[in-house]
Amino acid sequence: MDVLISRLKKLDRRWIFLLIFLSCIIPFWIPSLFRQEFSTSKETQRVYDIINSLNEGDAIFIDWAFNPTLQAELLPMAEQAIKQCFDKKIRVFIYYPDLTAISLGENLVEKIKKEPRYTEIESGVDYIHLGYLPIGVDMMMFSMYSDFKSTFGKEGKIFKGIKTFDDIKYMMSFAGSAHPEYYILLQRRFGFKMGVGVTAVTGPDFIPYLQTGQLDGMLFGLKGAAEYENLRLKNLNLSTEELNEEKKFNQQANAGMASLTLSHIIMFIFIGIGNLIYFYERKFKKSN
Amino acid sequence: MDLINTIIDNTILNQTFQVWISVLFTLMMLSFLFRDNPLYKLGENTFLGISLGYGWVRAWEIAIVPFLIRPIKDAYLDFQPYDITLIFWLLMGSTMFFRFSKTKAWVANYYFAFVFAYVAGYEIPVQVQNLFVQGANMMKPLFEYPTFFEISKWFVIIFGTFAGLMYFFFSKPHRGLLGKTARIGILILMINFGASFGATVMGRIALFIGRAQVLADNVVPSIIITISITVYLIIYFKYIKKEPGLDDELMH
Amino acid sequence: MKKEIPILIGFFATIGWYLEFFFAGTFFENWKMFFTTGFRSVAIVSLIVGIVSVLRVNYSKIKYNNDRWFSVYQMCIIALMIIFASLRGVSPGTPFDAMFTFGFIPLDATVFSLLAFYVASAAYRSFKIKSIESAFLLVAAILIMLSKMPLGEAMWSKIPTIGEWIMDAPTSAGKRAILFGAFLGGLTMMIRIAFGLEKSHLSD
Repeated sequence: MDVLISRLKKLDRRWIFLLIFLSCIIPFWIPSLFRQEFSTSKETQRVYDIINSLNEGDAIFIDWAFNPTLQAELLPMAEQAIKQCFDKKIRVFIYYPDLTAISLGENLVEKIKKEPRYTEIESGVDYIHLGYLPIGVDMMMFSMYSDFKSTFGKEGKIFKGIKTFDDIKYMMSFAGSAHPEYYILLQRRFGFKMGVGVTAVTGPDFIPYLQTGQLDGMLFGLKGAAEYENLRLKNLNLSTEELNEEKKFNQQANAGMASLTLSHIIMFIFIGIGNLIYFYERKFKKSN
Repeated sequence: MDLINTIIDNTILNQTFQVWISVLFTLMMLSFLFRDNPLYKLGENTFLGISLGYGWVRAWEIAIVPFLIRPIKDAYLDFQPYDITLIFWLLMGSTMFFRFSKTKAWVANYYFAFVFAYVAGYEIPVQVQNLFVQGANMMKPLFEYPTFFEISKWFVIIFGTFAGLMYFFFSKPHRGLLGKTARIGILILMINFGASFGATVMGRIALFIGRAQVLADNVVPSIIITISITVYLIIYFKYIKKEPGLDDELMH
Repeated sequence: MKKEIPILIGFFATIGWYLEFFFAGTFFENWKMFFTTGFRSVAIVSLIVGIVSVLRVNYSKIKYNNDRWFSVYQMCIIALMIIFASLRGVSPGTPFDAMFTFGFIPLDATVFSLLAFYVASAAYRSFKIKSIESAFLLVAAILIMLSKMPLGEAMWSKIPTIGEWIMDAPTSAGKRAILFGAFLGGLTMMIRIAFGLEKSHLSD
């Protein structure tokens, strides 16, 4: 026993790395390893309901504040949000507060446009990339509440009927940092309606704002993205064949759920072993 | 020119090449987990090069041309009275160069003092508003809540926030009632940190799952490149760089 | 001259923006547009300062042979990006974009995902029940993890509800306590800046 404990205590951390690596990668080859059903949380449902309640021709503002570092969690969310808007013919304005995010967004929209459902989506009519501005959120907000169009210096049919930010019905901020808090600070002042899509790391920071109603709807981490995917597919009212066809394009977050489960089981086992060693040693020291 | 186009089409625009290069870069960076090595350094510099090049090109196209060069050109060709503001702001911006100087650094104070004051001025009322919003929401009437589940949340939120604040209250020694409240406060904060930690672990692993998906989808390149990188690392650490690194002592 | 006038400017700027919150109007609209365009111009000048500083750092690295070849390589990649952009533009499907999608994305995402491994290793080393506080921390962490993945729900259907309660009640209470502290601290700092008591952002 003592030998085992001392072995485990001096375990090279690279073995842990290897196990985590394998536990993340193997479930992609054996997708039926774990049960994949889960309920939808109320925050995700709220985001879906709000976008679903908008009318054709309404506008939504997407604040794309993540670069490729966080794309595993946030890209599926953004994809589903944009697709839901396209389904409902809602105009989408995408703004990038980060330079390296621009290509990510442009490529995503190009990818969506290749899918059979969205071949008729047009740039400048159904969506527009507003690009990057080298000013803070506060200044941008002030400017958007004076004159929405001239803030970004872009042209297009999509701007028709949108004078200020008041004409935008909902905004979503996708970020893995405290970035949405800049908007939240100004939310009560201007009274716009906003939701966030955040990584699991920053998710808990936004709970107080959800309770006060400053935030309306939140997508939380990889599971939030997976819930959103399922929710949108379920409500498309498709036949089984069509659903299977659609699933090819809308399973990015769901595909990772089995890996999430297995890697966490490994984590729990390691935490358990760590605690066992600790208690064994404490007992051993006491008896000496 | 044709030659360049052919090269571009057959390398970076070739789909097989793209798959292999993205798998190669992923595994190159993962090789850091074994130990710091030249492959990782190469990847790091590629990363810096691409991100800087990307940023410069994009900044030029999106920001510098439309918001700096074009206004200056317009002002030069057809001067209007309001162009004076542009000159004023460019002068303000160029004061930043004085920060590099040791004796004349104070010139930039004019701009920085203004920026900080602007942030203060616009944030003071907004922060107070937020403070009140948070406080008011915390103290919603109890009887508005329908279920026991919600009511239990109400109690924890009110007394938990209060206890948490008491833990940060250092003007009196933590003894007696204050000590007990602070003790509850620290438990509440611990649950908070635990939740944050759990969420952090999930988030970080989710990031790697994104990469794992790329590796799992392209099995053949992944296996071949993994084997070659492993062989390289073995050769490198056995024959080329024999002396142990700084962090090898801490490797367990 | 060095500090007094900037502080005076700062005082009036604070008052100006403070009043803007209470009296929005045409005057303030113009005032806001003036500063929006102004800050934009200054930010662009600072972008240029950034470009110059990268070139300077790499120049000195190449000159004094401090990882010389890596610097040369880095500058070559930057030049390659600029050449690609000038040859075929930057829209999706161009070589510039392919460099981003198949070069930058794997590198950037993988560097960040290395943290997953270190978090796992750190949890094994240090996540131990040494006291009541750490027990609370561990239990909360595990419940949150379980509630945010399918396994928890498969084990017991109430796990997501428990996770929700932990998130909504104690976590939110703790976060609020910290938020109040941060808000009050921020307010104090801003009032100090407004009245010129805080001078750390000004150099001598």
